[in-house]
Amino acid sequence: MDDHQKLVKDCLKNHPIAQKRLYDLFSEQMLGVCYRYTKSMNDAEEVLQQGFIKIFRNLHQYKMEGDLGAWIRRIMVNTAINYLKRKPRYQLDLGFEDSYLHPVTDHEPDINLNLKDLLNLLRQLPPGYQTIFNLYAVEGYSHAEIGKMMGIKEATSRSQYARARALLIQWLEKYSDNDKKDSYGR
Amino acid sequence: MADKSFEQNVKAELADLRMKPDEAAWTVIESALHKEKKRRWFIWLLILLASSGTAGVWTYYSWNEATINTRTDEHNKATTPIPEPGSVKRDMMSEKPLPGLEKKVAASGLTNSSKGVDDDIKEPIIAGFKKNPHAITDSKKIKSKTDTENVAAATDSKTNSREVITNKIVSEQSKVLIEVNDQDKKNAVVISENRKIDSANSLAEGVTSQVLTSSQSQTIKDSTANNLIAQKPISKKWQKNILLAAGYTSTRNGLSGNWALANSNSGSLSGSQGGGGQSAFAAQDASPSGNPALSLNAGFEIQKQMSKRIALGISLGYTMYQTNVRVGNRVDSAMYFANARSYNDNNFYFTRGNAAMYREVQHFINADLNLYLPFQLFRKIAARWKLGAGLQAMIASNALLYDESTNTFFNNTSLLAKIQPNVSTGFDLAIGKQSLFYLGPHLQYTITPLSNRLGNSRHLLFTSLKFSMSLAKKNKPVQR
Repeated sequence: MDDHQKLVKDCLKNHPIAQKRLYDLFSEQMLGVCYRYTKSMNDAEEVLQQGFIKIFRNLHQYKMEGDLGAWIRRIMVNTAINYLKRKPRYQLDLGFEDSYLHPVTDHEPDINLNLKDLLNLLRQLPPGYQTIFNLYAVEGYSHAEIGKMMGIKEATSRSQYARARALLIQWLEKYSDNDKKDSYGR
Repeated sequence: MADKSFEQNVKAELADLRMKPDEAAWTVIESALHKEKKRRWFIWLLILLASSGTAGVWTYYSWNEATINTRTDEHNKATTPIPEPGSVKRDMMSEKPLPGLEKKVAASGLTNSSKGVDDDIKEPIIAGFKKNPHAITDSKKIKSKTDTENVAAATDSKTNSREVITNKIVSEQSKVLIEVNDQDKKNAVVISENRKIDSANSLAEGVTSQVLTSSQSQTIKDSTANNLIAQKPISKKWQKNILLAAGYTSTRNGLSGNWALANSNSGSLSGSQGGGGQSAFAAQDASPSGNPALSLNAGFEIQKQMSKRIALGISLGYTMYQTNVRVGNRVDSAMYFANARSYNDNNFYFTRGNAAMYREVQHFINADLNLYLPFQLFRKIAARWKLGAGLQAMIASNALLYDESTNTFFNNTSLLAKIQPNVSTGFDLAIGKQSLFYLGPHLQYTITPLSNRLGNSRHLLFTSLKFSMSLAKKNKPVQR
C-alpha cells in the first residue's frame, strides 16, 4: 500500500517513469474489465486508453486511504459505461427493447463454468444485458446503484438482470450439453 | 462448483480476468498526457504575453506623463528669472527668432504685426502677459486654454474667434522666447514647436476663414510636414515596438495556388478498425480544399536605424493561424495509418469528403529579422517597405493530415513540421507626424510544408493588416 502511495505521489509530480509503472501495474487487469463491457478488443483498448487518461488527470482526487486498484477499477467501469452511452451501436441496445426480453429462471445450473466459454457467451449478450450483468454479478453493485449509473429505474435493472441471467444460463447449459455429446461421441 | 451460487461462480471466474494490452495503447496515453502539459505551457505563455503587453502600454503612458512634467520644469528653468513685461517686448523685437519659425508664424498671420489683427487686440495680449507671465512657459496650460477657447469660438461669434487668435499669438511668442533663451537646444524645440503650430493652425482653420485663407493654411501644413521629415534625427538606440496583426491564413500548394486534393474515386478505408457500420466511404468523389480563416499575431520588436535608408528589426511574437478544411464524416475511433507507423490523436478521424468544415488552429512562436526601407509617399507621408525572414516554432496544433492509403484525414501533432522558416514582406504607412505608429498590409509565407507526409504539401500564407506602435519617447525633454 505504501508503494502505491509513493507511486501516486510520483505520478502527481508528472514523472513519466512512475506513470508508466502505474499503467503496467494495472493495465492487464483493467483491460480485462474493459473487455467484459465491450464487443471487440479495439473498443476495449479504446476504453482502456480513455480510462487511464482520466485516471492520470484526476489522480489528485485519490485519497491515499482506500485501495488504489479499487479506485482505478471504479473509474474504468464508469469510463466504459460512458463509452457505451456515446457509441450509437451500443446506445441502441441500451434502450432495452422488447425484442431483447427473455423468460426468467431462478434455478441454479449444474454446470462447470469454463472461463473462455463464459466470457464468449457474456459478450454475446445484448449490450444492455451485458452491462447490467457485469455491474451486478461481477462488480457487485446493487440495483439501486446500477439504476443511478445507467439512468434507469432500479426495477428495470432488476428485471433486466434476471433476463440476462436466464439467457446466459440457457446458453451455458446448451454449450454444456453439446460438450457432453461431443465427449460421448469420441 | 455446485455449492456456490451462479453469481459467485461467475464472479470468481471473471473478476480477476487479465489481458495484455497492445504496446501502442501506452503511446496514445503518453501522447495525450504530454499534449496536456504543452497546453498548460501555452496558457502560461499567453498570460506572460498579455501581462508584458499591459506592462508595456502602462510604461509607455507613464513615461509620457513624466516627459510632460519634465519638459514643463525645464521650460520654467529656461525662462527664469522671469523678465519684466517691458523687457520681454523689447527682447522680442531686438533678438531674432529662428528663421523657420519666424516664417511659419508670419505665414499664419498670427503675429502682432499681422494685417488680420487690429491694434486693439494687441493690448489685451500684453495685458494678459503681464497678469500671468508663467503662462507663456507652461505650454500644456496654454494649449489647454487655447483648445477650450477655440472650440467655443468655432461655434460662437467673431469676437470669440479673435480671442482664439490672441491666444495663439501669446503661444507663438512664448515659443520664440524659449528658443531665444535656449539656443543650444534649437532642433529639439523646433520639432516640438512645429507640432504645436500645426495643432494651432488646424484649430484656427476651423474658426475663421476671414483670418486665414485656405492657401495659407495649406502652406503651413506642407512646411510643417517637410520640416518634421527633414529634421527628424536618426536614433542610434534600439527602439522598442509592439506589433499586432490580424488577417487571413490560406493554405497554398507551393506558390502555384490554393491547396486542394485531386479528385479521386479509388480511395478505400481498408485500415478502418471502428465505425460500427457507419459509412466511411461517403463522398469520396469530393475534392477537399483549404479555405482561409481569421488569424492573429502579436509580438515585440527592437529596431535600430542603421542609416537614413535602412532600419533593422528583430522581433519575437506569437501567431495563431487558422484555416478551414472541408472533410467528410467523423469517425470516433483509434486508428493506425501507414502500416501502423502512425496513429490519430484524440481517437477520431475524418473520411474524405465535403460534409463538414474543420477549423484548423495552429499556434506558433515566431522570431523574425526584418529590414525596413523608409521613403516618402507623395513627398508627404512617411512610409516604409518591410522585408523579413524568420523561424516559427509550433507549440500546438489540431491540423489534419491526409493519409493516402486510407483516404482519411487525421490529427497527429508529432508528424507536423515543428520548426518552419518563413519569408515576409509588407508596406507600412506612418500614422501621425512623429511616425510612432505604422499600419499596412503584410504577407508571410512559410517555406516548409505542413508535413513531409505524401499528400500534405500545404504552405501557410498569412495575409494581414499589421499595426506597429513604437514605445519610443514622444517628445524628448529639453535638457540644459
